[in-house]
Amino acid sequence: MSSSIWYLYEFVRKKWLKRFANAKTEKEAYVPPERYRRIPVSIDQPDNCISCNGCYQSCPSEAIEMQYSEEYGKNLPVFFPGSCIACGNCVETCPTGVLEQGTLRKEAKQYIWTVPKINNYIIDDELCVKCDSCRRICPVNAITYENNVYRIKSNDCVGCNRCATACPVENAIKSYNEYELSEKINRAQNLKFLKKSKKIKYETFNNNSNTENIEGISNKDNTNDDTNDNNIKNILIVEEYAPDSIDEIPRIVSSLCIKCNNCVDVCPGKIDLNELNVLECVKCGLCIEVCPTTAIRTGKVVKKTLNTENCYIINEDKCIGCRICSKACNVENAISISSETNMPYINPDYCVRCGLCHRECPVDAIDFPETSESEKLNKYRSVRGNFQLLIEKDLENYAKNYVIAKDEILEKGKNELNL
Amino acid sequence: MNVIPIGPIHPILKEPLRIKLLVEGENVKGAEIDMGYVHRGIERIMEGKSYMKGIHLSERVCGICSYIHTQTFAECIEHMCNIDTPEKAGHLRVITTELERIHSHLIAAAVYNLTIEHETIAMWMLNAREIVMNLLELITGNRVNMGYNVVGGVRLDLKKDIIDQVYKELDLFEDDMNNIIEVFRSGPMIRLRSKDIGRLGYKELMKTRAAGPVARASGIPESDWRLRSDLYGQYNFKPCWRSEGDNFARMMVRHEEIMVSIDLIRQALDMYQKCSGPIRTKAIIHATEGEYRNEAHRGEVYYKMAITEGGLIKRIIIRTPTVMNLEAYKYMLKTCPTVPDAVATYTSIDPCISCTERTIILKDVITGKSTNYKDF
Ligand code: SF4
Repeated sequence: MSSSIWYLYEFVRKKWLKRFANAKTEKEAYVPPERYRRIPVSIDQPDNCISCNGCYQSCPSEAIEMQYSEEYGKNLPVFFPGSCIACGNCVETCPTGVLEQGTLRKEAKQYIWTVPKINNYIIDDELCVKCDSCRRICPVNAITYENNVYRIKSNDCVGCNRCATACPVENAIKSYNEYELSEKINRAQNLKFLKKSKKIKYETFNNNSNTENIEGISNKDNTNDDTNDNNIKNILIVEEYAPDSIDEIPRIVSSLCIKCNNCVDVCPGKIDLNELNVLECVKCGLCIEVCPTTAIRTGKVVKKTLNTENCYIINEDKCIGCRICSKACNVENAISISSETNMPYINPDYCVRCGLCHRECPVDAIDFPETSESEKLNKYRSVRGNFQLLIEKDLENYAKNYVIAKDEILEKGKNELNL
Repeated sequence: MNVIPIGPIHPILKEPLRIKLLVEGENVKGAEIDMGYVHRGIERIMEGKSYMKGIHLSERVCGICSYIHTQTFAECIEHMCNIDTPEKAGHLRVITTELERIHSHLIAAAVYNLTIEHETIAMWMLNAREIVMNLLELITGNRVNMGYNVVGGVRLDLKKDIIDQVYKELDLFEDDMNNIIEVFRSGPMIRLRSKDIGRLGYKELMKTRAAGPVARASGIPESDWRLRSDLYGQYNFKPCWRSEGDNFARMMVRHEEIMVSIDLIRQALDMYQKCSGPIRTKAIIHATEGEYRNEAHRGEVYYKMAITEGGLIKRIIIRTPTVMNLEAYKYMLKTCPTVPDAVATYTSIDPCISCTERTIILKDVITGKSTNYKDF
């Protein structure tokens, strides 16, 4: 009895009732800690965004899409909260630092790190004309120029594709994405299994066509016996591949090779990736198929321009004949010197429209008209130059003949006078 | 002989798996285990991706021991390319791994207690786990899939107030844990349900190559990979082990490891405060291949990978300990008198099915064409 009175007394106490009236959750319970990475990522100052696609490419869960924003007049990232995994890759990738998640950007800003991306870019040394266009346009300074070669630092590149669009030469900046790479790896792996399970067979041929089987049975004619080797290895591969499907031993371009080892996996011969050499080759062409960056290739490469509408041409009224352009130009045969005016002129067939000469010219004598005009002028100048050459040659001949004739006359006169 | 099928979807299972128990009356005579219901092809997806994306994928191999996968991934690349991580990062990694070990062991213990019908302890444990989860969230910024590790270090640094809070909460947690373990150790009902049940002897263990707490409960303390790690060499650390090899021993090893982990976190925090410098270095990666092992919470986790210039993953192999531990289940069944005991024994090895199932290539029988993961 007494206890229930105590309870009654206790329940009607003001303080106790107040607790009921003002009941609410304590603040710490629902306010997440500051460094908790909230979903999705917030954009701080969209004005600063340079629409480089870096965040979109760094996202492992494809939660970001670049969409055109009317308000800012450029592409801005849009985040899907359902896909975001709060990993923070985009925040650390963003070169302008407009993204923020929790306190991640503030705390991790001082650390340099590798940028993950979908598209990877590399420069093909054999095609590069060293015009500097890519380095000047790169927003993150990821392209370096050392020892006369341009390189893209794969750690810094955000994959914005600006260099590839700025490059005047077709395929000089090669891009390969993760899907392509994974497909090539898969293909190489399947071929490797074929090789390991002895479905790709080796045979050895002697010079005098005595067939000596090492593994498997041969029933294929030996066709390449023009080499002096005593033993020529040959292979037979399930249907699609035959030896000699390419006509020369392929070479490896060092600037393109990412050392993925795909070619070594499938090669029936030997490839040394440290020295980038193909040591033993049966010319099956398997390596070319599995290389993700076309680093293994045969034949000559042609520098083809992407811009065929316009072409640089030298304005002879302004040209002072310093020939700086012809020294600067890195393309063979693109600039020749006219023998009539001693001024350089540009051949639109070879010119790749990189604009290096235009930039280097001290008197701004290089124009950029339509290609047809340049072609006309080029034709005219080269014909003129050739004509001049012809005249000079003829004159030289005449002079030579004249000197010879003169000598003969002199000799004759001397003989007659008995001197 | 009758067959009791359990799964693929069943209240006792956390993850889909099918166990066919062969029973004679109530006595369990054997079992058949079927896997393959939660395959996700993580290794295949990783091929061709940048390692910075791969590390987040590897975190999703397992839902509970997510952090240790990123650490093994990062350490594997650091090992292959000779990247020196700063001292601070090492201590931070140990703190996070050990916190995660505590929470993983607590889940395992709680689930075991549920299967032996001791819900009280299970609830206590899950409640105590909440403290650890909050600490993890505080330190890394995320709760389960933390995205904390990067190759070359970790992402976020600790601050003074966070360190104080970790010390404080650890004290609370330790008191809590001591109580719970004492109840588990002395509870007569628990003893009846766990002692001498699901025994795994040394010889059988060697046949199955079981790892982790399962191995340590059967008397192999050297199965702990932390003994061989440089990171743990700086601390005063001894593995816990027992020799009985029954369910009780397995659970007790886990409990003792929780206490050791608390001790390790304190040591790491002390040493962390003494060192200075950055928490991350720039990783310069060249094409190589290599492998690395770590002691995950369930046993040895093994990574082997090949990467290209610039850090694109060419191939990767992940092996998690559950494969070997599930194999050992076969031998434990011999000392399971009843079906509930067989179920309890199954949970006592702390199986993680989604960890175990990864690469698969689907081949069309008629055309012989293998299907690409992107075609789905
Ligand atoms: S001629 Fe000038 S524009 Fe043409 S390729 Fe050479 S440098 Fe570039």
